[in-house]
Amino acid sequence: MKVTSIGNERARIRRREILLSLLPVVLILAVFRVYPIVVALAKSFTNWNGLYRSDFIGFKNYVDFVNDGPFWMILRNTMILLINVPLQVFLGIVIALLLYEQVPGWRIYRAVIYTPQIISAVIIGFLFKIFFGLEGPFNAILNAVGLQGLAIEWFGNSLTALGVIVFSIVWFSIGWQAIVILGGLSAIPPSVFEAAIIDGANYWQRAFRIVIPMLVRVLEFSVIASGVWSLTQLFPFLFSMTKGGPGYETSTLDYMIYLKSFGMGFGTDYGSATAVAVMLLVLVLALTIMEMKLADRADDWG
Amino acid sequence: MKRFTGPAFLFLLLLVALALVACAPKQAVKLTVWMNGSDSFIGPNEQQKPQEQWYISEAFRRFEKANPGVTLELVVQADQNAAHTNFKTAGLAGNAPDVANLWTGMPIFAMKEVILPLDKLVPADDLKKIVGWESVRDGFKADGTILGYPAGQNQICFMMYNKALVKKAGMDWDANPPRTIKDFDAALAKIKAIGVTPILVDEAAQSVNWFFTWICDYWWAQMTGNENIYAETLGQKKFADDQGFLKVLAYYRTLYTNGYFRKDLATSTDSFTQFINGKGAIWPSVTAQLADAEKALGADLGVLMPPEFDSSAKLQNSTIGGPGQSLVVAKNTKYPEMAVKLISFLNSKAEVLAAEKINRYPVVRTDITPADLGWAADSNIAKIQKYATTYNFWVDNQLTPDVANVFYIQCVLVATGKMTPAQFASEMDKKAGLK
Repeated sequence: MKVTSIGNERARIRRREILLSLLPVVLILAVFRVYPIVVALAKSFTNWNGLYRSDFIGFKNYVDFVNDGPFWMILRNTMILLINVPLQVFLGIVIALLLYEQVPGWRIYRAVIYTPQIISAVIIGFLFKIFFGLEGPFNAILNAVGLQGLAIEWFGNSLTALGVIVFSIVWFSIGWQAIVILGGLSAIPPSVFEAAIIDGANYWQRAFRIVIPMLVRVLEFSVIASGVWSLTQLFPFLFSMTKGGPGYETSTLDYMIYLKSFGMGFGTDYGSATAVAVMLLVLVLALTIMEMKLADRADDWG
Repeated sequence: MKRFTGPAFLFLLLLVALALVACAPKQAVKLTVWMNGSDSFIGPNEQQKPQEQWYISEAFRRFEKANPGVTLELVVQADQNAAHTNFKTAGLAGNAPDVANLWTGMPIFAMKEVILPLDKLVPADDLKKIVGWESVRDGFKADGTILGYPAGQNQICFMMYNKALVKKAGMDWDANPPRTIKDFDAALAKIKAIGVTPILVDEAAQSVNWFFTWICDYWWAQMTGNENIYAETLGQKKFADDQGFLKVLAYYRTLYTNGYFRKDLATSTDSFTQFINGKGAIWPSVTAQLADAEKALGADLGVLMPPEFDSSAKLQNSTIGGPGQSLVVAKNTKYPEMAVKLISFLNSKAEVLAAEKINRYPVVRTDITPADLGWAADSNIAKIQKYATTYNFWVDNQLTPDVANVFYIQCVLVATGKMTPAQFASEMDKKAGLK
């Protein structure tokens, strides 16, 4: 009896220690994460203007936004820009493999490929805006090589403008992807490769049968991180390159939050902006869950 | 004798008490004043200097000296957009500043419950000699409640042009400026023929349709009239039924299809640089940008007022403009007369002349001439000053926020042909609450 009682007492103390250890993190998360989300959710059902007006208006903000002219274009743009995620992951794998193979000059390549990450996204945006301007260097090159027909106004229509934005994001992110994947590759024991070589596996077999399956969790992280980033952090690129235009042709859900909060026309439609933010949150959660389920399945295949 | 001592003492005491009361300092009057940090009574370069050297600080000292017992506290508002919301919040709580520098038009109409009506407080002389009262009268009506003073600078819209390029195209706009749309089109065609872009404009930079807002809006006001535009923005009439608006939008489109605008006007951001480098002939502008352009182009810089879209319209020889700034008095002020006295003082002839040292703008008074301001009669600024009393008030300031957002952001799509004028007008109607 006595032994059991001491055991229970220890377990209780241990539980209390665990709870107390977790308490600071739980409190920080509750104050800085959960509370703002709950407030935003509540405000999205009001006509909140930032300060003095916050009347309950039900789903009006959501309904109005969905019925608005540009909603589907904005949703389409948001999804199109996600194309950057598979592109940057694919190119990240290729570059990481080259670095892993220690091709001549790999140390220099590793430094150079990461350089865009230390440049401000706003500066990158402006550089691309100038480079792909109607009279910019890219069109000058096309004209010089006799491809005048391709020298178009790249930011003048939705698809080409989004294409340039995707290109700039991939250019910006590829170094980060390569470094993350290289870290994953370095964690694979060399003996696995040695065994595969002894068993007669060629380069591609090693890449697809060993590297990719063993990198599933790293790839899951990089896809989720870059996917969430693409949905929520593209503002500096859009603001500096297109300002969401012409019209709403390159606006995204993320950019609409800005326009509705601080756009022209003296409007401070925070209620509607929080509704867009909640929609974005739901989209991020849905895509993340879907991606995690796919990664679990891929892990099972491995 | 002795029996009079008591009452005499009491009488003496009363006299002393009365004297003390008379000599006591008057109750101090303290006014808190919110001023916008730019485009106001604070000049664009003044914030680099200590605050006591700013024009507005000097003006406050002059007012305090002329009104002993009055103290003025200056509070600079860095974000004027936020200042409107803050003013309303403070007003509802009963602690708004006595005087605030806000925008004119819709922004102050939307908060009239916290703004003191000034109809009975504004001196008759101010009503007579200051222009722009329609911009602060509720609903832009001639008899609308006066919600503030039009204040500070008077921004006038016009087109800057490169005289050398216009001359090269065989024209002299000083002597013979295009005054009708037909003449304007012919002039643009001649400029295009010499191989330069006739009109340089970044029509979507900062998400604002600058050419339409500054130039086409005059044509719209000429065709439709401010009252009808105001009714449209309130959803009482339809933009889609506004034939004048549709015609102006259609003409705006032809400027693009004829190659008179730069091809990338929906995405460009370097028009001013191109203009001062002689790559284009015309740049739509407001007064605030004149000084920089004159520095760059010198004597080659000319100003052209918008031609008349409809020579039979009532509104002629005008342009878009007017005071974009106002000074309002909070309902909760304890000193309404003193607050109005201060605003009247800041808009007095002497102070308006003194303020010109920080901002070279057409002024809001009718009794000030270019000569008073030291401007040469043939200078560009003097030419613009002629319109300081005959402008048509900003059309975009008459639009409600939701309608204005569509107007600013999507208008350029009409020029580039991605929206028809009817589709664009219909989008504005949707935001005005009409289907």
